[in-house]
Amino acid sequence: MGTRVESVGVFANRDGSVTNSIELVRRAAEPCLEGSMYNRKDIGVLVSVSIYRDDYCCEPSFANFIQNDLKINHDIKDSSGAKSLSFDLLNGSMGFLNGCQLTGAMIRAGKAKTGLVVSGDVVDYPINENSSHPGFCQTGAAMLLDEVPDRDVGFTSFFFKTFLDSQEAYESYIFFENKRFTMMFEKDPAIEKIYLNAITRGVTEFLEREEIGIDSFDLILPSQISPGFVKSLADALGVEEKKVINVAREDGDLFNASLPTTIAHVFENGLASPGQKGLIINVGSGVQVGCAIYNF
Amino acid sequence: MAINTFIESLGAYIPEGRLTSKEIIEGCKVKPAIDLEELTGIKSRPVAGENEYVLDLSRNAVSKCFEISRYSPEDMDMVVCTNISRYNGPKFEADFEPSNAMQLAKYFDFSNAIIFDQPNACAGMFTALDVVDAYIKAGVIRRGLIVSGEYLTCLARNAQKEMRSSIDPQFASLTVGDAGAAMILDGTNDPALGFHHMEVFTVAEHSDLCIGKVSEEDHGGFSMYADSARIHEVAIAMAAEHIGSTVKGTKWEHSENHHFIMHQTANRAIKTQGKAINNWVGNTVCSKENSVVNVQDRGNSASTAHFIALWDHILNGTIKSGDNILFGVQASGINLGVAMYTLDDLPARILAVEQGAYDEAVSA
Repeated sequence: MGTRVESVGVFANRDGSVTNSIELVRRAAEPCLEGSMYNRKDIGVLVSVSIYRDDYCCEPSFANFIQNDLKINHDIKDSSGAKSLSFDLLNGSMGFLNGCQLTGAMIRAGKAKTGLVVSGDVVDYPINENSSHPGFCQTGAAMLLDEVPDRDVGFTSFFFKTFLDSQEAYESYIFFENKRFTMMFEKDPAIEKIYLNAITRGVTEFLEREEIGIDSFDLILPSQISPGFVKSLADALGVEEKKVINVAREDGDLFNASLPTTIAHVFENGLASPGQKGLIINVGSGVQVGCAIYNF
Repeated sequence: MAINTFIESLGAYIPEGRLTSKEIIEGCKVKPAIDLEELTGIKSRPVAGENEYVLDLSRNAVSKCFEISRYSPEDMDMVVCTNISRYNGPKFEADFEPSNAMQLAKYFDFSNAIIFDQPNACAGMFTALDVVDAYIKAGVIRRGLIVSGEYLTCLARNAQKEMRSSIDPQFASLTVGDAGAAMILDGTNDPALGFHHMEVFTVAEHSDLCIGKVSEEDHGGFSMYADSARIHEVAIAMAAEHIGSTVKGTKWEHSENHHFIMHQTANRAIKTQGKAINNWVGNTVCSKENSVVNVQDRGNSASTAHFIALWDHILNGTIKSGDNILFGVQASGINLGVAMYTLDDLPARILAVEQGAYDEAVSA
């Protein structure tokens, strides 16, 4: 059995008019659910991977609010029928890829029929005057995953590697000073170079583990940090630029929405035929690199 | 592939500081009309030291967990942090990136593990159990570490300043205590051991009944606002049906079969929940004898509560190797859950490491 992306929804929010997480998620999740063959009651697990959300609310999990907003088994009166478990998964911009692996594990273990992974990162507090720019686009994303009988379809292999020596390269936190909380982003000016170096090492290790060459992939779906970053990634890995999906925006990192946005672009534009193979490459704070093989 | 998963190791860290319920009430600007100690049974709770934060509580619990485990950090395929609070430094610093799990990874060198934070209010550690259980059963990993450091008494400090009336939404903040807990979940092919059944789910229409966030007052910090009566009403009724329907017709409907560990909020709430389960089943699932109540000296330590209770009752000899445990989960969200568990020789292994230290602490 394989786990595939059954439906995907992205809300680009290009004019920046939506500034709260729940609304961002709703605008992405509603079309995702409408495009799915499943009903809401079929969603056994809902994972929110938003790091930056409304009000810096830490209890309950943000996913609980999303479950209620999307009306997914939210008002059950007893445990006898369909029900859902919702929770947050927080891991910088690696969250969506983690969420895909997690949903696949929950489905294979028989704990869920399908799973919904969502994100809607916003900056909801003033940025400290000494902070770097947050640098990410405030977008919404949702992806519904299900199981298919063919184990060679969908996600077939995941890999996560952490380069702990670079942990200080990207840090963010909130703190209280002068009677107010502000957000602080501390980024190494060479962050893109650090990410590229980690990607080169991580991808090499992954391909060796899988005993597969990078030329075996028809498409590369990388983190959409910036158009220039994606181009540099193609150069660093020595792959043809036309194979690398570049939907990055000039106005900021697509952050947690990178993976759903690239997948949506591939689906909507018919860029992959059945049997073709994609290499997903994610990078984020930690510094961590995540890879996955996706068979279309 | 493993048939069951089991808790291969458990570690707890209880900070040395103490704060009594009497001291908490004395520090309130507006004193509650209700007697906190009488209502909850909480006499005192552990308090993190001046320079202790969430990661310190977590780190100490993980160190203890590895002291008891047969594994080393490099054997971990997965590390999940479930703390609600992310209070990790002076000036109420709360981290977003990198994740708390990633910061622990640097200390213990978990560089080859799948690492993330996965909070889910007081159900966090149980939700992570459900998730790591899935990874093991799906054959993705061999074992994983679940950890939580709950630094929550900052909520009580803010409630003391912010409560406006004798019955206030911040009253529940006065019940919390600080603690760290960590466990390693491993796979076994022995069907007699480990988790026989585990289920957690969310009734999200009640997600607004308890909210924890940064305070909007001039003094900063973090505050929690709860409609305790409504949570109590919904959670007790639904948990009775869920736990009751899970155990009915099995050996788990008899209290002599197992210890019962509910989320540790207050004496009275645990007792009421037990009665509601018994009424639903029509049998004594929960009795005074089998109910583990730990709030007297621990308060409500949120996501760590079940495992601090387990730890304490292993140390005091109540819970022994081979015993069965019925876990009941209740958390804001509202998240509910149940798990049926049989211990291996973990209690004996914990006692072998801890007995000397525990005896010393008790005699002191």
